[in-house]
This record gives sequence, C-alpha cells and structure tokens, in this order.
Amino acid sequence: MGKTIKLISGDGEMFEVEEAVAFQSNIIKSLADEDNADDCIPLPRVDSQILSKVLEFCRKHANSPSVHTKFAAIPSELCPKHDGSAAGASSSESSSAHSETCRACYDAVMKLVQWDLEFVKVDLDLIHHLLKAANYLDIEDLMFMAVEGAANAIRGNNPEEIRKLFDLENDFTPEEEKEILKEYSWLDDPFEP
Amino acid sequence: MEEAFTISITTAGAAGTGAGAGASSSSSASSSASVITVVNMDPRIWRHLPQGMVDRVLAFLPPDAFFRARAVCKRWYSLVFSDSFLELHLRLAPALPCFVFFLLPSTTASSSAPSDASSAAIAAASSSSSRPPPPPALLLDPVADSWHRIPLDAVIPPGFSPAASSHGVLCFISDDAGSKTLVLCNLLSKLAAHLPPSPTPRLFPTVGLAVGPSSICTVLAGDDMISPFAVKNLTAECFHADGVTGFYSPWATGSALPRLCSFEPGRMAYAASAGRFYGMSCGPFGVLSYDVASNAWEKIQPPMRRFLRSPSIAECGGGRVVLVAAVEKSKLSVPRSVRVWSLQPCGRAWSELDRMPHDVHSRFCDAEAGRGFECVGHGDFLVITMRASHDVLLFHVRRKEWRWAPPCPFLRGPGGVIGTLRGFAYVPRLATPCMALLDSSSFMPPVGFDG
Repeated sequence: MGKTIKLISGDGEMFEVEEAVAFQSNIIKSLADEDNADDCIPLPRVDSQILSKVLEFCRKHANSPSVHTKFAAIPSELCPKHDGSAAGASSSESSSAHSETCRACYDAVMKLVQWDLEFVKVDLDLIHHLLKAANYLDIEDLMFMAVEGAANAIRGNNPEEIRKLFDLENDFTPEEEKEILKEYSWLDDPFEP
Repeated sequence: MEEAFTISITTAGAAGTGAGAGASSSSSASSSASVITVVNMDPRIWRHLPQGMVDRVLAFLPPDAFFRARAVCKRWYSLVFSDSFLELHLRLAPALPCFVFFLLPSTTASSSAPSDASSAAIAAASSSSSRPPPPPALLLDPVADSWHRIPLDAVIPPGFSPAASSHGVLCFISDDAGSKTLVLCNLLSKLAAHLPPSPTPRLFPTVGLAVGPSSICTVLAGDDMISPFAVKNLTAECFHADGVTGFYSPWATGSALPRLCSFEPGRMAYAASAGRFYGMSCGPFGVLSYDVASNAWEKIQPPMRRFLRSPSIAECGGGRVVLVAAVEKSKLSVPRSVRVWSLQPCGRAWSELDRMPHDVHSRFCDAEAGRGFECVGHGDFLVITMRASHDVLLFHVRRKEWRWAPPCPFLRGPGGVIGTLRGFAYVPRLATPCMALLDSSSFMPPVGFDG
C-alpha cells in the first residue's frame, strides 16, 4: 500500500485512503501539500455517509483516465492491453490517436462510463449531496457525473414537479404559460404531415 | 418538514421524484443496496443549490427536456438568450452524436432539389398566405435509440433545401438555378444567417460545410451553368471566415475541379484531422478530395471501382473517412454484398472495415430493392437510408455491429406516401457562436422568398 492520507469527516469519522484516491480531490491535494505533521485532514462540511460514497467514486477513478473531461486523450500507459509499453512517443496527439484505434482502451472507457452512470442513478437527495461535496472538494469527474445524474433524474419531470424541487415560483401568467406550452407542444404531439 | 428521513441507495433510479430516466435493474453495478439514515436534514435542499450549479444541471438536459424546463419560470426561459449560459452549455453539454433527417418527397428522390410540383405548391400556398408549415426535422439519437422532432417553423425560408451540416449548424441552399444563397441555421435556437450569394451560377452543386466555435468554411462545387441550358463540372468556390485570425474570404477562393468528374449532387464529408472535404464522383466512380489549405483537388481511386453500386463517402469520429457501397459483380458466383472501406492514413489506399452480415443484408435488399441508398457518418455511427423507404440502418464503426433503428414514430405507417430520408450528422447545440461571423444584418427573420 502506498502513502496514505487520513481524512476526518464532519461527524468525526476517520477514513484512511491511498494518496492516489484522495488526490482526486484538488482541495485535499493542496491541503496535503502543506506541512501537515500527522497527515490528518479535517473535512468539516462533508459527513461520513457522503464522504464514503465520494471515496468509493475516487477509488474507482484513481487509476483511470479522466473520461469526462478529456474523453479521447487516454495516455497509452493506461491502456489495459498494452500495459505500459507505449507504442511510440507519448505526446497528446499520439495518445488520442492510440485511444481512437485501440479497442481495449475504448472498452475500458465505456465500462467506466457505465459504472459512473450506475453510480449516479440514485436518489436525487444523494445526488445533491454528491454535487455539493464534489464542488467543495473540487473533484472534477464527480462533479461532472453528479450533474449528469441530476439531469437524468429530472429529465422526465414536468415543469410543476421541477418547480417544487427547486422551490421556484411560477412567474408566468396563465396566458404566458399556455403560449410556451403551445410553442413546445410538438414535443408531445404526434406528427401530422 | 425537517424531520429525519432515510436515504436509500439503490441502483434502480430515484423513487419519490417521478424520475423517468429508464433505470435498468443492473446486477453488475457495484453500488451497494444499503440503507443509510441521515438525521436532521432539510428535504427541500435543492433550493439551496447555488445558481451556477443549477445552470450546469440544465446544460446537461437533453434538448426535449431542456425545452420543457423553459416553462418553469422566466429566468429559465431566458437562459437560451444568456451568453454565460450558452457558454456553459457549449462547454458542458454532452455532445450527443446524432443524425437529423429530412423527408424528401418520393418524386424528388433522384436529386436534392424539390420537384417543380412541390415548388409550385409552396408558391401557391404562400400566395394565399396560408403556407403549410414545412415538415419537422427528425432527430435520431443512435445511442438512446430514440426519435425526436424539431419543428422548422419560420427558421427556413421557402425555396431552400437542406444541403450540409457541421456540428450544430445545418446549411440550406437556395433551390433556384443561378447564383446560390446558403443559409446556416441553428434549429434549436432558431437562428438563421445568410451567406453572401456565390458568384458562379450553378444548378445542383455539391456542398461541404465545416464549422468551428469561431470559424466557417464552406465549399460549393460543380454544376457550373455554362449556359442557361447546360451544366458542366468545372469549378468550386470556397467561403472561409475565421474569427480568431480575422481571415475573411467570401467566395474569393476558386479552384478547378479535376477533369471528367461528375459530382453526385449532395454533400461532402469533412475530415478535420486532414483538413479535407471528400465527395463522390460518378461515371466512372472516383473519390474527390479538396484540401482547404492548399485550395487543391485530387482524385482517389475507390476500391473495386467497376463493381460498385450506389457508393457514398462518409466521415466517422476521429476523422476516419469511409466509403460505403454495394458490390455487385456480373459473375453470379460472387454473392452481392454491401461493404464499408476505410481510407488509410496515406490517403490513397482503402482497407475493408466490414460488410453487412447475411441477415442484415437480406432485409436491406428487401427494403432497398435496387433503388439506391446513401450513407452519412457521425461519431461512432454510420447511418444508411434507402430511396423511397423509411427504414434506417445503423452501423457502429468500432464494435462492427449492424442494427436497424426503431421505426420513426413521426412518419406515417404503410399506406401513406413513402418518401426518402436524407440524413445529416448533427449535434443538438444551443450555442453555435460561429454564426456571429456572418454580417449581423443577415440575422433577419425569414420572410417569404420571392425568388
């Protein structure tokens, strides 16, 4: 096991994780860089339930390419098939060229994307907490996935349900609302050529 | 409402919020099915989400959900006009590689221009000011296997036909012979911008379009009208504007086409990595390639040239150029097939990528019945449409999987008029900033086209 980092959640629970896992969070990374005698980083705004879920995500992503921010640029070192033996120079161009043609890289990325989508197929409340935690801890991939999870969760909702969820006031007059829904009635109506 | 409540982590999608995201009961997900109790939390927590984060969620919504969400409140309605939101959307919204189809009437299946009958009908209708709305564009999401409608309403003026596409921009070309006008459209934001008319009079030229966040490059090739009654494939013109470098060349770049080429009127595919447009020429078949930077054309010999039927050129993700065609040898011992070839990095040789498996091919033959077919590519997918058929065939380039798209729910079933679907690569994008490069006076609401 490599170097580990100790994290303390808001409700006092201690989590010990590998550096590679914890450093998915840019905040934790910068806090750890400072001279911390006992390597214990307090995270008062994240409670243990959420932190454990966040760390589950980080564990999965620790040794994987950042699929959501730079899909195509998978360095060949991370290719499961080639196992570190890069075919050529590891410039960013050859990396994206590698992942374009390497079936193993493509499959690995697809699998990770699937795992991520399942990870955020959860209660909207949990997604909300993950969003805030990802924002607070600055974990780009988790932020990306939590946003996508939230969007997926609300995409089926009608405007009234969305208003209730985000606690928004309907500031349209009934006539205006009717106009808007008419403007977008094609979303639901069958096509009459 | 501040009592303790339970968050249950499941893999089957949200329970209490009416979410309809098609959750699958996957058994391979590693999320645990444990129940976690959290105390003292305000259930009405989404209201506390910072506005920026709400905007990010909205930017992720697929187009139909986004438009539904516009009815929520005035702020959300106006986001589509907010530069900061559009920039967020441009950056964040997952680029769904989709296809948009236009239904061409069956009488015009042989060309990209509407027949005299339909133009006359449109003219007659507009004179009585009760013009029927144009049929909507049909959007296919090959990953979700779903169809959506995008109304065209007042976006496209009459007398224009779809010609090319690039990212979220669709290009329409004026139907009338002569100097051609191209209109770039964003179907979602309903913005249209006209290019200045092209100098050389043409009949049914082939169009290529390549846009970037701040650049437009479009090529118009072939069908030069050397007299009111005769066309020849002589020249091509290029319109090139780049907001970053300040380069602006409105149809000033001309080039000569190779001798003895005859474009199938249609679109050209663009490979960004090579900076080239590719199009199909017939009689004999050849692939024409235009290099934007050097303003030069070259001819590439296709594979099995004498045995091809209905070839088309398409571009898939990563700048891969493919040729799709039916192979029919006169010798009966060679079975007919439909094959996909990929252009090699050298730019001259082809290698076979795949061919239709037997069951797919036999259904394809029944649907196509020798009438001809077209192919267009986007991302990992190739899409094949057949003349006078509403069937759509998908080919996943990496997985080498063939499958039929679900029937489009917006097209009439059997018994109605069967037209031809012409497909274009499309990314539903709210923000297409390149259109701002065109003269702002061209952003006019489309009026009746008096031709």
